[in-house]
Amino acid sequence: MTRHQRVALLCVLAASCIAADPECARIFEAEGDLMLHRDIADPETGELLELPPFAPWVQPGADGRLGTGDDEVRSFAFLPADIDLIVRTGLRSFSGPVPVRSRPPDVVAEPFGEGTPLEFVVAAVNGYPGPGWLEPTDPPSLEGSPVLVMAFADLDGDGAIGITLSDGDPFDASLEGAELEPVGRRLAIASGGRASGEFFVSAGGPPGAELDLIVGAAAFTGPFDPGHFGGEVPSGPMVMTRLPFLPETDPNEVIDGNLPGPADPFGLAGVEVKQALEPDPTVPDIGESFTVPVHGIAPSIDGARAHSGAFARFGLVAEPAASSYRDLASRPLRPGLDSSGDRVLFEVLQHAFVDDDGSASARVLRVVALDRFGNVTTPSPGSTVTVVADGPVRITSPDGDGNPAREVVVLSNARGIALTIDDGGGAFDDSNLGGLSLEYAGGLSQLPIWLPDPDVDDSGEVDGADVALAQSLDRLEVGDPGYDFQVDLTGDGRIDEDDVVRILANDGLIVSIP
Amino acid sequence: MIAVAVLLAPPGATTPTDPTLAIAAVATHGDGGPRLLRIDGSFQALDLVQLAWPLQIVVRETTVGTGYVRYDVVTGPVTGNAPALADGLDAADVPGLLASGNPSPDGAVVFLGVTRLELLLPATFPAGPAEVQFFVVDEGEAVLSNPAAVVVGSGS
Repeated sequence: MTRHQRVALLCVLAASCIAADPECARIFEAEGDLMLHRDIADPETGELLELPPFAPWVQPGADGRLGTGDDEVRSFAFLPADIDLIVRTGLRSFSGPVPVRSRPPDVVAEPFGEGTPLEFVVAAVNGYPGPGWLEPTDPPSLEGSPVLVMAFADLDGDGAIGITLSDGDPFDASLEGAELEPVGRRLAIASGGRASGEFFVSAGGPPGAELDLIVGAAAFTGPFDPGHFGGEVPSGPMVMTRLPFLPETDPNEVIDGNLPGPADPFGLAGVEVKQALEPDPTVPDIGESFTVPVHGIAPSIDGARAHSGAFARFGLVAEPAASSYRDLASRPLRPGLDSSGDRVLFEVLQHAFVDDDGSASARVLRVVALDRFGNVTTPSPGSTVTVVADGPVRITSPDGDGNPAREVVVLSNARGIALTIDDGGGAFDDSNLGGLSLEYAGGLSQLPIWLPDPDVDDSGEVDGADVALAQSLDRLEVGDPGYDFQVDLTGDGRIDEDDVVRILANDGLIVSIP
Repeated sequence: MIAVAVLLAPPGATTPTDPTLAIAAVATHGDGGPRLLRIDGSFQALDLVQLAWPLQIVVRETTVGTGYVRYDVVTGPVTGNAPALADGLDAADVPGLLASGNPSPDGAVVFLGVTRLELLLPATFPAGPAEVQFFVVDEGEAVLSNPAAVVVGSGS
């Protein structure tokens, strides 16, 4: 018996069709549980569909995998209204109807217990359109269930969370994909149809580039079955608010199997937020159905405005190229300001690549103040930072003293200072590793800078052995054991076919510097 | 000065219910002034936001073996000298270590990434070989990472 079938035992399932629906959706009848009552069910099996409101039902095709070309996408006319959970921020409780969304509360990004926390309450609601729609309810299937509350950030400031074409930019999907990672989360235990608490976030922005957040939630529903995760996790289907992706709902994929006891908001959660499907808005049947508007009409979620935390260090950021950006833990994106004070999306650099091509190309970075999580923040006015270039790296701008290895800059605000760097000499004539050090009163930062050349095995000539080496490291990313920046010629943080192409383009080249 | 130690523990950012701590690589920068310590590994970074995750980072000089700086992300760093550390940090040393040490005015945790931590060493921390280790006390039990060796430059 599946977990969905077990829930079905709680309720009375009736196979009724919605005549207006071309797919003849099946409706779940559960008179004693208004949260689940008249939810949409699989027309064939009768199991509840585990979908965010507004999302179409996406099933894998013959290959058994989601996100591939043969996915089967079905939309039911009633799906947008099928809301089970509603989150409200800035409060822990309410009485009467669910409050309408109001001005987003402010939150400051700091570690747990230090920043400004965000209060929340999650309410189960009657999601069936008609009398009582979106009214709070006390469903037995949610009693005692751990509810995971998650915050997502509009990193690129386009007014939406997730991968969207609504911003008029069809080429920034790689950057928008980073918005699918939560920037804060917390467990709360449901009681009486409510779950409440407060949580902290790790992302924020400086004045003028604050981060808009949306806050959603998800929970497995009951009953608790001793044969299912030791009775500590409800065995029924997942309910959720609107989310910017289709979440993985198989508990075996998202819950640590070694649970020490009941879920505890103050203990290790053992829950992973995983995407079952990263939405592709170019797929006609999916479109913008997963896109979550920050300020639009989305009754199941609420918002917040996140500010960066206190100054911790100086660091370097750069505007990411959407064409080569990869969403990796070592490549976080955060909002900041350019020289004019306009909001800009930055990659907060933990390493950087510079092409070893002499003066053919240069790299523009910015020296900025950062908080402990690496968010751009406001420094003390007049902060002096001495930038020191190591190895083959040269500072080409600003140049106040004619010394390309050293520059003193003064920061007065969160905009920071632009810094152009390059390598010296000609192509493929430098060592592969350099760096920039930022020296300031009482502190030091250092950024490794890599300058790989296509002779990745340092034999002195670009040949088939270099190709073989790159292919042996295929798909390794920064942080993976075995990843070697000297083979990551494209500098995107992953070794793949694009790096092999660069090696082949230089086949036969003599490289004298290892 | 650049010194790097690389171990085989893979980094990660998961949130299991059993604490999982591992150091993959450690590097130091700076000599004759502020000194930066960069640690790559797994330390359940998400839990630093989600709950009061009591992550501690210990940097112990290994010339004598007893001088240390211990970083608590929330309460800040403390320095001290603990004879019990002479043979390395183990679970039995943890209660005494948590109860001792003097606040350090110039040590600091300056970066909390998903798989990277960066620390400023106190000026009084001696130059030379050192060892870095994570630990937490979870439900009364001390859980330690692997130790990672590094050589630090001199302070100002």
